[in-house]
Amino acid sequence: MLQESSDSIQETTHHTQVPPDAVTSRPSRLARAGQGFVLLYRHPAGLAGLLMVGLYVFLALTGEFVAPYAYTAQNLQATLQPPSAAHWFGTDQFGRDVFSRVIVGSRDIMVLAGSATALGLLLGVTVGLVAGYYRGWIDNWLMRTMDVLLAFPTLLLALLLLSTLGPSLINVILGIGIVTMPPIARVVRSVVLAVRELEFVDAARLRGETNWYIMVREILPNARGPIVVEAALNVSYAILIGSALSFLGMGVQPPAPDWGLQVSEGRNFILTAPWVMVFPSLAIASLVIGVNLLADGMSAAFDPASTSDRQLRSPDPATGLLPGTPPAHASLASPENPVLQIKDLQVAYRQYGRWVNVVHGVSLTIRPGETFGLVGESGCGKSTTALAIMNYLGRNGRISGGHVLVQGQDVGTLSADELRRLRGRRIGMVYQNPLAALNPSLRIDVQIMELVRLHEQADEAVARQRALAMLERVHMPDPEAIMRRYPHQLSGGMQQRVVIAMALITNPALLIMDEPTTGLDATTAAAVLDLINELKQTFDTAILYISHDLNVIARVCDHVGVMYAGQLVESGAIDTVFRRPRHPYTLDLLECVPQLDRHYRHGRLRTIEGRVPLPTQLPPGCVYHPRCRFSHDRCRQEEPDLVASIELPSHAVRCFFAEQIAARRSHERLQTDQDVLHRVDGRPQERHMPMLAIDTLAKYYGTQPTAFFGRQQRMVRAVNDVSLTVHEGETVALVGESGCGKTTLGRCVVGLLTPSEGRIVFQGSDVTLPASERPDHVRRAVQMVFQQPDTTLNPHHAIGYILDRTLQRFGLKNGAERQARVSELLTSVRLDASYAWRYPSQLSGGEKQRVAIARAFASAPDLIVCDEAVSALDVSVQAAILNLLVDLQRERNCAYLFVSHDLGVVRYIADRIGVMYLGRLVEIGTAAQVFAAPSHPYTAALLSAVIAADTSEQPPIRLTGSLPSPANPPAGCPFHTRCLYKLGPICEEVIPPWQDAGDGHTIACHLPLDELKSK
Amino acid sequence: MLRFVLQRFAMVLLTLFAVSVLVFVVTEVLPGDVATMILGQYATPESLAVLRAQLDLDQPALVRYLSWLQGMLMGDWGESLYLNVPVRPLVLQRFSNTVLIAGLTLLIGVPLGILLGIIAGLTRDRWPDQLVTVGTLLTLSLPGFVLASFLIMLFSSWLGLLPSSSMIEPDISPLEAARFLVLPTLTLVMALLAHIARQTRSSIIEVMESQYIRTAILKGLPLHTVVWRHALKNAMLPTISVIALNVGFLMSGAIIVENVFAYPGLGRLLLLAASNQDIPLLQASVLIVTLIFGLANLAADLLYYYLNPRIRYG
Repeated sequence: MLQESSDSIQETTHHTQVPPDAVTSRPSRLARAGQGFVLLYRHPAGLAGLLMVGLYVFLALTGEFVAPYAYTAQNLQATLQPPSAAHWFGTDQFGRDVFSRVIVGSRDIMVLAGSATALGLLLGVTVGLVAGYYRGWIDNWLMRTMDVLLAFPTLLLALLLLSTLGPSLINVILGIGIVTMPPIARVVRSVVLAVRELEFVDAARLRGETNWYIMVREILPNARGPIVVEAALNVSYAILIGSALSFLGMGVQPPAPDWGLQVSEGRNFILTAPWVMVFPSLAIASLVIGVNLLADGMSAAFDPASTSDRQLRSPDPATGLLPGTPPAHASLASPENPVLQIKDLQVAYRQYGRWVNVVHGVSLTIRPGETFGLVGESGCGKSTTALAIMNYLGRNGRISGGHVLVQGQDVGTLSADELRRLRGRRIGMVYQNPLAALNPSLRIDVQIMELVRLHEQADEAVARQRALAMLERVHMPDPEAIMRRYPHQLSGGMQQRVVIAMALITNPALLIMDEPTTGLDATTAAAVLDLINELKQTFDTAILYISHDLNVIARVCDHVGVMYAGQLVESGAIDTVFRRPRHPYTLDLLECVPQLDRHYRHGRLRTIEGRVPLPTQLPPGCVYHPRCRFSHDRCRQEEPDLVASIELPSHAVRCFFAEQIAARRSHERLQTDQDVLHRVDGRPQERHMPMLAIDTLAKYYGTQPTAFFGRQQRMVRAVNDVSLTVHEGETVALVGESGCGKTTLGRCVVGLLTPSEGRIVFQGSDVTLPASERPDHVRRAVQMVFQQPDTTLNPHHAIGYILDRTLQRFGLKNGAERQARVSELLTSVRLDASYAWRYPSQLSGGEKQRVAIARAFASAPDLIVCDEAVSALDVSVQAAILNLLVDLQRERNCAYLFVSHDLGVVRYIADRIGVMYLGRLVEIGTAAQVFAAPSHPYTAALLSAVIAADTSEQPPIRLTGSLPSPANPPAGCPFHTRCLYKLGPICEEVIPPWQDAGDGHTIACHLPLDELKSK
Repeated sequence: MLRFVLQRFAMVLLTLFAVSVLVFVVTEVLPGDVATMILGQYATPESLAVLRAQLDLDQPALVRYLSWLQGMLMGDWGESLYLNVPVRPLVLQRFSNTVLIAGLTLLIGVPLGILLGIIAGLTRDRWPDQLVTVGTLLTLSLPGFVLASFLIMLFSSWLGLLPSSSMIEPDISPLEAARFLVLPTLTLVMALLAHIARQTRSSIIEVMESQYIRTAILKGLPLHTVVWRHALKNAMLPTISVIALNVGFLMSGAIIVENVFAYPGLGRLLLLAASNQDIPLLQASVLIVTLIFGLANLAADLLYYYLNPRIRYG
């Protein structure tokens, strides 16, 4: 583990490109500000704006010294003189030098625009911050007031104010400040609303920070980007309004050298002496253009999505090494015509004007009826390969070498029209996020039928028939009604069925599925996988199936290719690759996934050290050697080819030591050994007083009206009547699908939510309070690790500050002591102490999660709620974090309440498990008890969803119907609407009793235990 | 649907009510009072007191507000202090003039702006886009009065094609009258066009990068179908808000343009009232403008609601 951390120190990051040795020195604020200038520098227009504004600022500061004449100096002998050497911009009606007046005028406009913007900013930020943070009635009243101000066109409001206040510079500033306040308040409020929900704000609440601290130190820095951009826009706005008011005679009064006034006066001589008007006009215009360009540049710099930085974040990094040689198995193609042939494919993305290869030398072949799985961790080039097949790589991507042949046609050589006829007709695609993949404003029927109408020139009626038939085939209930719906009205599983129907309706030769079940709940995903398996039988389609999930690949694919850093490292028939892996990466991947038969007492999970290399930093030799536990000198120097195995020619591996690895042992991973489940038991139930007792807890949402005229929201019962205990040093897992209330329950325990009913008793005292009202010792004792590595740490705080602040809050006053503790904490989560100087953007997801764990452990807590703490991580990182959690628990005897949707993870880490459905607990027991019969029908369905059908003796249990809305849960047993073993009216009317199955294993069901056992 | 409309309409009424309070407070309660304005700074205290009693200015503010509000609602908008004519016919006549150029501007500017925005968005970073981006940036950086002055210089002074002011005489022919409208409308159109084109461009770009557009392209749909059927409706949503905002701008941006061209519209009247502290005239004009602005926002909300099924069937 320590090895891993020192390895990852070598890693540099996407954003900063810090050289490895730089991390030991502290990155200054100056350096971070410098990054902003670098981004501005990449935006030449923004830089031009900066220069123009800079020039005017210079003139404003030095105006009197630079101007050749005093701006008031009249010369009635030389009025309205055209531009000359003496008067560059001519003279006005009083013989005053226009050039001098324009130069000195820049000071007035700067003072005006600067002060007005500052005032508007101060007012707007305050209002937005307070409204967004406190919400409720304060928010309502403040924002309604802003609405009233916004009900006036801005110039009108300014005019109204000035007509009462009287025209003067101060009043103009005041007026513009007030009219520019509402838009800033709105922007700030919306940022605050988003940021206040982020996990680092929760973390601050859990350490008992004041509202003031949270607003100013945690939230406000994150609104900096939008505020700066808004401020820049307001400067130009203030200039425009200010000079307009002067022009109209309602602003600054003569004889001030105000540009607006000069234009106004000059209009009288528009025919005879246009220069009097033209030069101040140009001054206004050029200053505003400068400010606008600067604002554009800054918004680009602050919004990474709109800059050339985007390519850096493009999904698939890898680099341009020498192309790999064609793999051996390509020549062993069977005579049957392949649907898809990829030959030595190279894909490149442009980064800062340089083309960088991200996929290199991938070759694979898929024949009709075959399903080829592409597996690997994120950033390995899987999705890029899929998009290359469609030749759809966006503006910054291209196929830089090799060929993609679809039914013998090279997609790289097709014209735009030919490509269109390929897409949708001969290649169908299914995406990871069905809601995003469907057009939100078109009905389902339009979206499906347009394919038939386009590719088969069918008329409306035929297309409708076909769409209906297709929806039937994907087992959509009530297709007629579905056709009239919009995507957001369907559940995730139904959305994915629509996308699958769209992909298959033209009967394509090739179907590409990119993580089609990743976003779905376990039972829904199982049903979709069943559907895919069924469709494979009926359609003779070749399928390219992309997933990071080895279990899923094992369930649908015949062949598999394992990708790493843009290369195919192993490919072959699914059985041989998964049962006898020959590449170390495949072996590692298989071993780091927690399986349903493994508990932490069986031993640690395999982890893979380091991380997938960046595109520009691919190591020499074998790409995997820095992370490989079998690497030799040869691996560091020579790059292995993808070579077919001698005994099994269809099995190809890119490793020098493949035969030795295969010989090491035979690998039997994908069996679920029921015996193991029985053999291993969790920690025996301790009989003394539990540390945490949750007593008939309920949490309802939406009991208050949201706004004026806001409709009374229906009450959502997120958690209902839940009782649960956690003992000292024990891990209790809450498992269930999204919307079951497990996260809400966890947040109630730490005090981020207050229960509507019931009590939480911790170490004997009632702590049913929000975190801010809990006594310090309770807050210290109950901490949390959050789900999202990207939002768990405040991006504006250094790691050291985050930990230090936590220690300080919990009473460690001595600074030197705290510093020592910070190093100690970092070391305990296997990070180098130098990480204290880093910022979150310089860390990988796994490293951020380690810091989050260190933060949770900083107060030496007795209980940590882990909310999906490993769900967002790649499997190898996930394994390392799980190991870390187990180690820390052993060292510090801290109890975990572990919330997760992943049964494998839960099986691995939990001593006891509570299964939740629609806000209620339905089963509690030790891990072994819950994973074996008897179990609640819902638990059985959940388990069945993740077990491959062919490895289990029983037929799979599949749920029908969709999850009822928690706003309107079924009466009686919440599961009765989908239960396969429903008894009758009793299930619909009576809440099921808890039945004791022995040894603390309880099940909430009306079915007798004997029957539950036999299911 | 009906519930939504009623809700939004009630919101508009509530806002207008708040606006009326604000206008009243700003114009009558803040320092400076009508009696002093009428009689001038050197009036005797006695004559001021008499006039205040005549004008009910000695009543409490709330009573005065209510009687003022009642008058506004009943159509008694008072008499202009500066022009000495009844406010209502004057405001309504000027208002109809403003509606004429505002309507023309919307009619020309909205479709043209959207079209330019779409073209720019689809040709991102290529020359048509750069042309639109630079052109609109320039237009937006020129204050209305500068733009208007330049147009006058170009078309009236140098080319001599169009009149520089819009003193519409009662007896001129419609064709002649139309010539007066060209420059004010052109000025307003340029600014409106720039706003709409920029917003449309950025939302087209955003939508074209969305996953559902990728789906549409990978369905093999031709570009015009992708844009027309899949992108446009979604991209128009933010543009609608910008158009509504610009109705407000047309009402107040008209203040500048109407003054430069001496166009007899509401904006010019507003400035006259504001600079002469003609309170009744100012109150009526401001309320009319905010009413129109409020209705435009309501229309935008309804259109948004209609175009966005996520709200309609939320």
